[in-house]
Amino acid sequence: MKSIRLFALAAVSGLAMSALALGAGTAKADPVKVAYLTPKTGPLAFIGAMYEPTVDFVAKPFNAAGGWNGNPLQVTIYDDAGTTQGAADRFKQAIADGARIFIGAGTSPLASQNLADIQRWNQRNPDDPAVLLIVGAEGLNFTGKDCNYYSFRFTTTPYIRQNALAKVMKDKGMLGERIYSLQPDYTMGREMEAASDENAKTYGYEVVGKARHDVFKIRDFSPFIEKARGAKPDTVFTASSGSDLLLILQAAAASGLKTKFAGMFLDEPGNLASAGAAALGGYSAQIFNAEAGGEAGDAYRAAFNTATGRDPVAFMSNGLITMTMLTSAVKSLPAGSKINIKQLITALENNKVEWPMGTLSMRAQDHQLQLPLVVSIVSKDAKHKLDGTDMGFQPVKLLSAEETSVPVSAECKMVRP
Amino acid sequence: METVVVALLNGVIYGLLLFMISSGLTLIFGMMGILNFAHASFYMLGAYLAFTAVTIFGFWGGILIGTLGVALIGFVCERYLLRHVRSFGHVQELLLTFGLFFAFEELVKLFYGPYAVAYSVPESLRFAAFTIGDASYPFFRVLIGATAIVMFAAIFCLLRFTRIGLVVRAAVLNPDMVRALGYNVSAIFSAMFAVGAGLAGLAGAMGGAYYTTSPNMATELGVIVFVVVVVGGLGSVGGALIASLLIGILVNAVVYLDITFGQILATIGLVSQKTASDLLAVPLSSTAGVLPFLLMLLVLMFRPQGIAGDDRA
Repeated sequence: MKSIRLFALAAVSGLAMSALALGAGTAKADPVKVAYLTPKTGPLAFIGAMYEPTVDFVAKPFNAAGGWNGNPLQVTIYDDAGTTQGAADRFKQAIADGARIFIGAGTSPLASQNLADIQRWNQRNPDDPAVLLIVGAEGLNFTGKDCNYYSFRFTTTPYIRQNALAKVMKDKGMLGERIYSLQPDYTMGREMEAASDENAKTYGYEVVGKARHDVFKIRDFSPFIEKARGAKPDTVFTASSGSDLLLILQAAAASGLKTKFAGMFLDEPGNLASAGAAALGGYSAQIFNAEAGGEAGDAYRAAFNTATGRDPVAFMSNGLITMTMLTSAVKSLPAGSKINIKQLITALENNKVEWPMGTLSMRAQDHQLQLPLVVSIVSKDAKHKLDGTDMGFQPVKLLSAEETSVPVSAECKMVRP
Repeated sequence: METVVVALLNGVIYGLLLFMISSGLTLIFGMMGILNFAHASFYMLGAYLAFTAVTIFGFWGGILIGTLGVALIGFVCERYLLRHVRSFGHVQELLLTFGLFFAFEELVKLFYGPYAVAYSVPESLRFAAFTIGDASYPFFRVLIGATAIVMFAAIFCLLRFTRIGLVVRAAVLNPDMVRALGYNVSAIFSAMFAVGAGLAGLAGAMGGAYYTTSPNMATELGVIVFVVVVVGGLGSVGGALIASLLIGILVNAVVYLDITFGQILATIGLVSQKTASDLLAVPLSSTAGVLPFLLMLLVLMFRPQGIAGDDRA
């Protein structure tokens, strides 16, 4: 008992000393505090696991090169546990810790919570505003009716991805004329369905059937597959992800449905290994594909692989883009004791960043990232294999940021201070 | 016609898989009164154990180890955890298994990572058993169904026609008397729990290969097995079979129906055509996931003891 108390005392004094040391250190160079909100525990823990390695990969070299005029970028990861309550709590904690730059790396509901928290804070503290960088939430609202001067989106929307998929597949004569829409029953799926409807004329196809399924509740997708078979589609569009997507592909392969699947989340870690041969021939609109980026792409992939032990896939690429654009914007700001958030926002809006797939920029009207996309097909001929399988993503076509861009939503009425 | 046959078949097989998982749960509840929240975790552990063993012992060895390994884990849980809280009553048992559920999930994430793992049916078993129209019917689905039927027959015969079954049923009704007659009631309960867990392990080893093996599989199935057991009647193996098949077929059938809630309500004159086509244009097929819960609600309202349950609960 005594030894435990002694130990506790030692630990506390140690902590106090290190805090003092830290205080002494910060007096010289004030770190630029960034709060990274992401689920690290709970059922959504895989999301945090995906983003975590991308933070240091960008922040470390940035700090090694002097950071912002000698001030390092200090990214702290806060675990929101995948719940909106957790997100709200961690937001308060991060604000108390002095962070004013927030990166929201979660699902659409979590990003909505982050956005609500940011708006509330900014209303109450107009002289000390905070900014939100949304990494992976694809809900249309973030650049639509909820578009906000203090929030940026660093990923696509289902409209952008569906458009890219349809455009490339049409170009290559792989789209066909009969399209089926099999969507997860929440905002993302509904938006993908709407996008499939909207683009029917442009790309000359007919939507021959639609179905929506509950998210992560269905084990057996064979009825959905049989229903789709009845419509005789050439291509099935789906925004499903995770185990839902795997189950759909497996059910289709097992029952011998010969239809092309086009989606956006097939490159999530573990998916190819788990789906096996069922994934072959699936189309995916990817943010990053090393093969498509040529030498620059290969070099980027190799560097990431050395640092983290895996390829940059799925939303990891969005994590990298967010951090890269943030550091680049921070770097361009004039020296000072503290980051001016409004200056940072202007810098983010004006910055153009080179990235192995092309040029990245942020559209000022709705704060939607303008990014190149790669439409790829799962194939054994791909240059880089994934997940220890003999399959990988072979690029079909690389679309530039101009080609993937879709117009600003009419619902976006951004109020600029 | 072909579509109907395939749909029905799919429903039956899915129902049988549900039965495979939930039979252990209803067995444990019926015999020991323990509502085992960690039951779906046993399903997950079965899949992960099999996935680990497959590389060394081959696919069938993996299935065997998944089953026996989970039975052993179940035995240890009963012998060293549950037994200690039994004297405090069922609530404590329930809370303990609730805790086990989270512990198992985090343990699996710790060792295998948060993503799905590459556990799948071997190439040699990936062939069509038969074809109906354009649809080929995978052999492994048939195998899952057959295993479930054999399992049901085995449990039923064991409990009904053997001496072991007689002692077990007696131990449930009057443990003190059975103990006085010289039987080791504690050992019987441990064995019961191990068998129940092992059945879930077997279902996991087979289901994990056919569907996916990820740390979320327990959460995804945890609720539906409870629905099966409640609808069937807590403790009734036969009831669980009926409920599983009912839910399997219902969930499958509803996907094919191309009507919306609005259309149904408009037909019986509850809402106007306009409301039906915009506000209530929710397709019936998108309710496939919530339908089992609706069924549970109805059963609890009109027949609280379940389809085949006795009045004990």
